[in-house]
Amino acid sequence: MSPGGAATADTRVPAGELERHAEPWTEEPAGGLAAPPSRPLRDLTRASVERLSDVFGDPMWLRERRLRAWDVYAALPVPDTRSEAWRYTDLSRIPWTDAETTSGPPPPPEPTALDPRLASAGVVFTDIATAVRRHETLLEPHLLRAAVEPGLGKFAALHAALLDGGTFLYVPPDVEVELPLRTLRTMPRDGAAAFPHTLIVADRNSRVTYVEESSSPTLPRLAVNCAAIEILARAGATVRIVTVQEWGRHVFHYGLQRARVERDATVRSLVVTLGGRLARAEIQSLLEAEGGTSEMLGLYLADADQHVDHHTLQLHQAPHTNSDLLFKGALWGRARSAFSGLIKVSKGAQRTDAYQKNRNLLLSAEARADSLPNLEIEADDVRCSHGATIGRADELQIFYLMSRGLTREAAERMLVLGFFEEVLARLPLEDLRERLRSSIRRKASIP
Amino acid sequence: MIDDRQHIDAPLLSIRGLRGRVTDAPEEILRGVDLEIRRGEIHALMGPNGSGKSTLAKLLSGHPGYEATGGEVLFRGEPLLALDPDERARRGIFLAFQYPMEIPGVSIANFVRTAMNARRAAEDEIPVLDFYDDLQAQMATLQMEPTFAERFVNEGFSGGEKKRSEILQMALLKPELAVMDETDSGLDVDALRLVAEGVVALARERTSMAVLLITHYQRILNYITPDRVHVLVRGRIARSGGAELAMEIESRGYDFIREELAPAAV
Repeated sequence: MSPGGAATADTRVPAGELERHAEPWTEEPAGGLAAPPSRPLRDLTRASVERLSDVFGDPMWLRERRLRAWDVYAALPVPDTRSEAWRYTDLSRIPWTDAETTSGPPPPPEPTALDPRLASAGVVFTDIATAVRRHETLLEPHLLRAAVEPGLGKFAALHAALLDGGTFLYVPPDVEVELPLRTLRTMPRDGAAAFPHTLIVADRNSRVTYVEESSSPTLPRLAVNCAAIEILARAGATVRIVTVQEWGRHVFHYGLQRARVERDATVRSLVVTLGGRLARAEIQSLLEAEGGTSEMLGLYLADADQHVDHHTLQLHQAPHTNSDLLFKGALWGRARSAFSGLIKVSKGAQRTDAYQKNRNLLLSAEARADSLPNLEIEADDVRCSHGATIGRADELQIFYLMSRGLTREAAERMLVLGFFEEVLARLPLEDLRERLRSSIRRKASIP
Repeated sequence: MIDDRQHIDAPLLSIRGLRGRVTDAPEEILRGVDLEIRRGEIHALMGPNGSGKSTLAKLLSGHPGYEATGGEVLFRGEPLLALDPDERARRGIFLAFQYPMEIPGVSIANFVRTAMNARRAAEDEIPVLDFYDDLQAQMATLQMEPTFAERFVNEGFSGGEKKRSEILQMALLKPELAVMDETDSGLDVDALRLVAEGVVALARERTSMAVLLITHYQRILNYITPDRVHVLVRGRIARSGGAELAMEIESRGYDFIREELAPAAV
């Protein structure tokens, strides 16, 4: 895949366990301009976005993108359950427009301590604000263009208009970053709205793993996290991305993750949804050229009155492309989950392999899961399959475990961990697997 | 003094007039079983297909698909039938399943360690290294590869592997009473010998452990010599005797007992 093995080996640099601690905003306004007062989302106007852009000190191109996004946002209705895409998720039951925008941009974070060997190889791994100032020529062609655009929906547009921080990762051609790069996000304030953005550009034949973890305690007032991740995997590149969402129960989380997969490139993602009061994740892979491959994994565990909604797209636009999706969820209490997934194969995309599987395990009488797999195939020489299951824990399996002395609760917990193992087994990062298992164990022990 | 002797003489398991059926089924399968097992004894329960052998095993372990409709069972002197399966297990009953369930994604090692700790106080969990020493030693006895411990419980196991895995669990969980439900079924001669020798080794090591060996065939008794043999026919114990009874069944089949029973049964 890479031209000349030696060149690849030269640029193969261990990254160390890098961490960026990105906080979307802070109480303290920074910069020369007076910060606008924080306002509830429902009171925002185009002028508010202009003001925000001033405070952030945006270059013109970014300001224009924000304003265009605002116009799209303003023109779109709030999605309701009459639309197919939001059929199972009723936004009217949460007062999300009460959440308040930031009162100012975050102070420029300390420059990330990127391994000097990676930096000298041309790898950029920094926060968006720094990237705007220092890496504008790399950023400008891709930010809100590589894969995420306002036209993708009401919340994608709102995100683009109010984007207030995040992570930029660029890997130059033929560079392989061995160890995972990580971002940790926290949410310091309740009642707030955050709009973090992640942009990953993996240039030709590069290789990188990125892990993004979001967590917070549960706070009294509803907060909104309206996030987007855009990924551009250039020809021959391999990107692995793992997102772990462990917000407190006061958060409405909207996360859009969209990857463009070019010729012979591979994007593998795992989306872990554990937190939030209402979590909506949209995960899309666009296979644009021959040889593109996408693996889309998901894992969700909901309890009490949590509501999780996963909406996926495997879009095959070119021949000889592959996608494989596996989402598994377990539900306790009165939790609800919705999964709707679409495999779409365009007319010219012959010899496509596309698989989709969603499995749900219900562990209480009141829990409910809905699953809507969908196929739209315009090519005639393809291998596609999809399937969904929703089932209760098997009483005979529980009996078997109990017959060895495990309580019913311990038996259920063990079944859930085993159920998720099929997904975790596909993640070749033992440390991360173990970290995810302990999150699952912790959550599963308090049904 | 007298109390002590009574305690020592008291059976480990005492089944009196037990009746039972598949939950909500109209017909009883067990129609009044009486059986006593003392510590250290090995009992074989034989009988033709459909006589109720497996139903007895399931009632003793608390299988959700079966219910007792009459009689009682005392284990270590206390009523057993009202207890949940996990409580029975923690009190010392182990059922080696005829058809053990697959538990995808759960390794043998993780499963057995969790089960061992379920019998201990939270602050007294078995140290991980001790556990693995114990596990590997028992696996070696049963001629299992060390990697077997990391395989998912019963998933993709051969018939022989499933049965050996049951014996492995039994060895590590150290029950007071092991109920073995047709552990010999579906095994070839070599696998049968391995499993039987495993049971014999355990019984020798833990002389207080009692075994109720449920089997259709006599052949496992070539390796394990029972103290008592019972023959179950149509939900009742029709004959009890020593090891020689099994030999008689081997040569004559079950028909002679059925015929003896016939006049009385109507």
